[in-house]
Amino acid sequence: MPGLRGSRVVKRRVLIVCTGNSARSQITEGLLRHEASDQYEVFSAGTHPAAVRPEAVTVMAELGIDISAQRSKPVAEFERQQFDFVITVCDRAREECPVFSGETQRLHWPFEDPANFTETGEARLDAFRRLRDRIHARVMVFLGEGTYGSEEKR
Amino acid sequence: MKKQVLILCTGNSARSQMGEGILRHEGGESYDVFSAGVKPTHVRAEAIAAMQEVGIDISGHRSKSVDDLAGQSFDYVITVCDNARDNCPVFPAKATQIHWSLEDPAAVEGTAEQRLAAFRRIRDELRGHVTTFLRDNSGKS
Repeated sequence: MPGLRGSRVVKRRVLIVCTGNSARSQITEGLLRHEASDQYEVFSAGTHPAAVRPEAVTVMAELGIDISAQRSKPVAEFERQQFDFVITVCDRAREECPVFSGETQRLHWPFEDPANFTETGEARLDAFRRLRDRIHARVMVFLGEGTYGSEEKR
Repeated sequence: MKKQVLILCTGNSARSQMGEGILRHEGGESYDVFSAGVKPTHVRAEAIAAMQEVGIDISGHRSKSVDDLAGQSFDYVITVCDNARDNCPVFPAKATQIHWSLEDPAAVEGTAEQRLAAFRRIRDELRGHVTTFLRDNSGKS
């Protein structure tokens, strides 16, 4: 089992980064912590931190996940820390994605920026729900990657 | 003319979604595949993940109500529910009715790893059923 050292679980540290740390990285942080806080310590940050989008809080609350206490933080806050994974969730083609140095595994999960969502009202929430569900699936793929190969070999 | 197949379960969130993805992937040149549920919810993230592991993308699937398909005709209606625990939905149609009894992976609670393991197990059972289905029905007109 990954992360087990004797009887103590050493949690792997994950930093999730996007531009504003307002929706994508906040949703990812909430979902990864919800699904696997026993294995991962999860943080998020932005290159241009703004504020957590209320729509993100709303659609996460629909899954019973409370991210209302999460705040948008600058990447600089984490620069001196070590992470096992740094995951960028921005759209590399259109945005500035930060580069992290150090001994870390870098992953890139591109998701579109909700700042570009043009819908209003319930349609807008639907767009956030779709984003949340796509991120959720990606998180499950990530969590499954450590176990799937070994299961195939059985 | 492709054969029309409807795969039916309760929530259209896990079993019928994976079944749709597998059957389309394996037999899409001969079958038009649809899925629906009597109480549609949403496609489970674990289903999308388990399918991605075998190279099948169902991330664009939606949970749909069987009511939306009323009036549509099918050659096959496949119910994928657990005989022991579910009320299996019935789709009244002049179609060959097939039943694959499968546990509901969406009912498994536990860690992400445990849930993924349940979805993988059902995915692999579905692959077996689909292989048999395609073998048994190949060449039928």
